[in-house]
Amino acid sequence: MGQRLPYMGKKVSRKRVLLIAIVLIFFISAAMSLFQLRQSIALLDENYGTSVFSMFQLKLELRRFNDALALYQVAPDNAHLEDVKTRYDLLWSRFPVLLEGVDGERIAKFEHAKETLNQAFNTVKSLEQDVFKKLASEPEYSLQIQQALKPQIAQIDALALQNYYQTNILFNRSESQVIDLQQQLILLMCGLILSGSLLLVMIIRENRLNRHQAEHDSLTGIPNRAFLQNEISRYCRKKQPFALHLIDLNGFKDVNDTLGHHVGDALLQAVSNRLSNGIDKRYGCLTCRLGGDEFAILQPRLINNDSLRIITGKAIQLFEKRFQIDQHTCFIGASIGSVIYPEHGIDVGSLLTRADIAMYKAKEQAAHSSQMLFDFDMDAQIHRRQQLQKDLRIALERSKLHLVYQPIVSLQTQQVVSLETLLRWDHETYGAIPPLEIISIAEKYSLANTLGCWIIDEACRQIDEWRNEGFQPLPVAVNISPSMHQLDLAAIINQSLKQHNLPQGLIRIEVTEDTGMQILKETQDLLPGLARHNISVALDDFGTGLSSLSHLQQLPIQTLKIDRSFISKISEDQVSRRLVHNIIGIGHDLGMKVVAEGIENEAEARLLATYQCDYGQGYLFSKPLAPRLIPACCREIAMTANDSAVTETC
Amino acid sequence: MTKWTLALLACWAVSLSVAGAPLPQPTGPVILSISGKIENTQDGQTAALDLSLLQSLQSDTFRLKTRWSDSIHNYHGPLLSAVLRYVGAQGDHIRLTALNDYSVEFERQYMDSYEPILAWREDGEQLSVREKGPLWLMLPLDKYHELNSEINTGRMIWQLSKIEIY
Repeated sequence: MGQRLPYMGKKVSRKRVLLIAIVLIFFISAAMSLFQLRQSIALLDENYGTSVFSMFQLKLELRRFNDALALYQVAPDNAHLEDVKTRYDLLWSRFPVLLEGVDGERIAKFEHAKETLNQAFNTVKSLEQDVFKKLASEPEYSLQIQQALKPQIAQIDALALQNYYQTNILFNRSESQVIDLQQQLILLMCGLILSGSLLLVMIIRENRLNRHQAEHDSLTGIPNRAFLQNEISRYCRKKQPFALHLIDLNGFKDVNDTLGHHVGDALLQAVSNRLSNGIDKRYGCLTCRLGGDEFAILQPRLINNDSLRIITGKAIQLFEKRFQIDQHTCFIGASIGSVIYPEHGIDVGSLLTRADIAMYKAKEQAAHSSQMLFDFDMDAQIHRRQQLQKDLRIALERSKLHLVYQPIVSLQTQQVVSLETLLRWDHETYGAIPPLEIISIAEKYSLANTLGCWIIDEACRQIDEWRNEGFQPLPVAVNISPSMHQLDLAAIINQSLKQHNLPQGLIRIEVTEDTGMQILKETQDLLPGLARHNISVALDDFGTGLSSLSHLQQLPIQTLKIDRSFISKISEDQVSRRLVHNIIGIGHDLGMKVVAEGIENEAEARLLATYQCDYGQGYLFSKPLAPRLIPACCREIAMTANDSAVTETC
Repeated sequence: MTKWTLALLACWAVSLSVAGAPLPQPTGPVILSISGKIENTQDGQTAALDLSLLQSLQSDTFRLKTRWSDSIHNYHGPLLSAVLRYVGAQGDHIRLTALNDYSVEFERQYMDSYEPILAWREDGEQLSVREKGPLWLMLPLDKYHELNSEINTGRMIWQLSKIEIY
């Protein structure tokens, strides 16, 4: 990844420069085209010239004045004289147009044009007196005026003609210039079209690149989740069986954590290479990276379940070989969950979810590599689990959980010395939920502490209730779930006892070996702290966990509870008998009281009593009972003990 | 306040004139005669207008340089639209003719969008025929750039003497 970035950066900047260049060419071409076009129009406009029109108008007015004079000569009446005067004024008005302004400027370009015009204008001006004064009394004077104008008419005619031709030449010349400009314009247009097309090509390319990036994983370059989802949808529409395998890497996190992200990234690349080369090309599958260390293989054309196993087997085999990243050797495994269309789902969502469920099952099954094909039982389990999780929260809020109590009896005196409380939950759909499952759900969904506190408080409340009923309070042992050791247990217990006005010592704690080990590992002070607050701790189910005898020595516990699996065999199995006898001995040697769990008959009780086992618990005495039955049960146990004592004495 | 009263009076005068009343006879020399589809005339056919009448209509002054002169001048005269309103012009087309028989035609709409004037005064002095008078159709070249084109230049008729509405 570290090497990719500069390369990509360079590529991107080069592309940007190219894009800017093309856009610049485009705009320059466009601007120049516009400029050329304007220039052409201006050129034509400039040389089209209204001076020709104005010159001919002057020529025309000269002639008309001349004609009016001629008419007046023939018919010297007032109307014709007025006409002569009007024509004179109109003729006069034509000169300034050609001596000033745009037309004047134009005409001035011809040699002697201005002189000719001025001369003619002066001649006309000089005739003013004659026209407005003399003519009225001397009509024949018009002939003289005509004579005076004659040379001017000839000169103006010549100038008009010259102006006409010259302007035409200029116009033609400008037209040829315009043609040149047009040719340049065509070139510029080519530039425009070319750069426009290039822009279009670049946009299309960018678009394609973006699409590729949107559908591919940037690290490994293989298709990503979005692409896979599209493909699955496409195959679903085809309605032909296919398989989807989700792969989660085992041990990847350790590599990432211990060797760093760059090794992790390189490992992911190596995995994707191995999968694509080993499976995609050979079996026509599609490997995708879904994110993190999760991959997927889409297997189209599924003929039968054997072909499914070929792919998963191959995938697992690919992980058997070690991965060599730089100088590091990495061994990682794969948990593969597979689903088949249409058997396990007919849409992207359900297929991916179920593949995920199967994948987690596979992960539970083996720590290194394994494969699981989805079946609907898994779905049901997941569903039950999700439902229970949802309902546990509600059950806790609405006090739908309850506690039952099992007496712990002194094997020497046959008196009930304490009670163990056990959690019960009667679920509407699933019936009685085993305590272990409740605890594990609570642990997983962060409800363990709430649950633990509830149990402690409920036990205290119950003791208080019994006391109010006249039943002598007995200590109650409460099972602690693993995560509860993080709390200040002593404070919680004392708080509850205080709230119900109970003396210390009435609540005891039972921990399993594993929880005990964890406590020992993480919170050194918890168990001694409990002891200081007169809260006795028992080690539950001893013999089933992973603790060693040395741990037993380290754990500051007061009671050892021997697991029922040992007790059930002592009647017939001598090894078990010896084992139990010795455990009792070790317990006593370490200064602990020993409880035997799961005593079901008299023989077991008697044997354990001879081994000096302190207490017993089991169906022989009583099964776990609802709180209201406890006082009577305790009395009954005491009575039975007295009876048998009497019998024995007799 | 006086301005508003004057404006109201003017409107009233115009509305009276529009109502088809015969126009008063001109007192000075006629410088513009309007014919065609018009409602207000002196003789049922033509509206003959003298300078004093034109001076009484809504006017405007343009300060601009035309292509026929080397410098900027002030041109003043009645709005063509005011003149047409005065004679109760009904048609959509207008033809203007000069003393030398040069003529131009355009749509009434054109006139409405640019509000040209019939200039009778340049830089405070009345235009004579020699100076392109008595009337010169002046377009507001300084306000609308698009008017500086060949076709609009051709429309700026001078020595205007006749208008025909059709």
